[in-house]
Amino acid sequence: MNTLNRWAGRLPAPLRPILASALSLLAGLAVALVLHYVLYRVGLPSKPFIYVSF
Amino acid sequence: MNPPDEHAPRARFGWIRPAWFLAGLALGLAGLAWLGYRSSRTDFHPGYVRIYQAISPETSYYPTLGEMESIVRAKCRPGQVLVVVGGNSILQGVWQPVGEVWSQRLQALLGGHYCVVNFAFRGSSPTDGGAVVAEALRKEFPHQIYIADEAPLTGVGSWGPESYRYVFWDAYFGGRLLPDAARDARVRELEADPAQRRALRELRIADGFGRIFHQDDWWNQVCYRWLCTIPSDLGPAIPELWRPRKDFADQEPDATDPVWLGRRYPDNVLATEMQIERSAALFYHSRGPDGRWQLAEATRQDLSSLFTAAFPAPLRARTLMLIGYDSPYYRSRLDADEASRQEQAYEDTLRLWHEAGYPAIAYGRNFNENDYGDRIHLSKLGGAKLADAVAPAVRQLAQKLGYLP
Repeated sequence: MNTLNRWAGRLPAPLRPILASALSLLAGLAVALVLHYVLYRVGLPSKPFIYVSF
Repeated sequence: MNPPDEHAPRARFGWIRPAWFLAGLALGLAGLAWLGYRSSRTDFHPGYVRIYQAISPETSYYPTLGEMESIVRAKCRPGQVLVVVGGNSILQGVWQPVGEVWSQRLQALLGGHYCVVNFAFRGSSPTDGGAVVAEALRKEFPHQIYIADEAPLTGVGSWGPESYRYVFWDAYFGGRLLPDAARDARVRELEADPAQRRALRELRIADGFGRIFHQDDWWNQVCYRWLCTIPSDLGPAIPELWRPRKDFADQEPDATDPVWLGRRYPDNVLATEMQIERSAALFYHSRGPDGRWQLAEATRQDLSSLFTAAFPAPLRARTLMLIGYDSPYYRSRLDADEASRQEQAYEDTLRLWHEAGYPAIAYGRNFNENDYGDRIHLSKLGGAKLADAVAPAVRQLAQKLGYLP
């Protein structure tokens, strides 16, 4: 994180808020992806399928 | 009001800009919901023949209602008579390799005026899977016939075993099914049971999310086409686990293959299979004045009410029930009394289905041992005979219902 901060500190000042906004947007997208996937996985039955022989 | 403190931290969330983060979250969920909706309207099973191991709940893959509807839309035209095959492993075509599945022969026999789609699942009941898909598509494909199977003297509920109930709930909570008092009454019974009420509430919530986000539709497509993250016997660990399901072919064995031929009727299950074969004795205890075995009145009433309630009234006339005989390898071992009880069971079962308003036929009475892969499942030879028996019944039904002249 410190490396990232140092790297961001070297950026021209006007670029910093743009980068933060872009990274924040990407983080939101990533969390959306995880949430969507979790919704799918929790919906799968926890009991394994048992073949019904008859 | 105090002046702004210049030395106060500028943001509570570090470099994260909450507004941009929330915008990304909303955009991401909206985008995935759209992708999921698109998936539910896209047929991503080219050359679909039937549900097989890699795309079935046996391997934790749960085909969604939208996914199955899309298969129908891709294969069939609204002008055709839609013939949906439901039921269990017998109609799925266990022991029949791809290319020689009985439903493929049925399609060939019926010709271009009909479109046959097989949505039978292993261990499923007549009211699961294909039944739900056909009912949900009743407006798009008003000329439809639904085919299912069941053993003699076996009750059928409004929905079947838990493994396949998810399709029913999806359609039921989504308002895709016909109003039906019997079904609603069963749901109310579940709601009245404290243990079931919670499970039902969770299902309702999950289906509500599903209708908004289409998460099952999207991730099923990802799993089938590109990358699967669901553990199963097919690939319990990485990297096999990640292989897309499309890479796993339908490898149903051929019962007539010499490798399997000798294993169809193993001696170690003979006693168990014969016990099942003699099960008609549980229902018939006495003969009537005409010498025929008599079904207990309580059993008759029970089955009658179950058959009546299994499907909504408007769907019964288009539901063709098949009642299959077991392999003669086992039937031939019954004594005269047991065989006559069994014959009576088929006769009574067909009559009860007819009385409840369903067309129904029996098959397999004259099939031989080579027509079966085990006690109940048909080999490709038996499957062909089944298609030969069902095709005229389907044509007759289509005419009777006014679908075709």
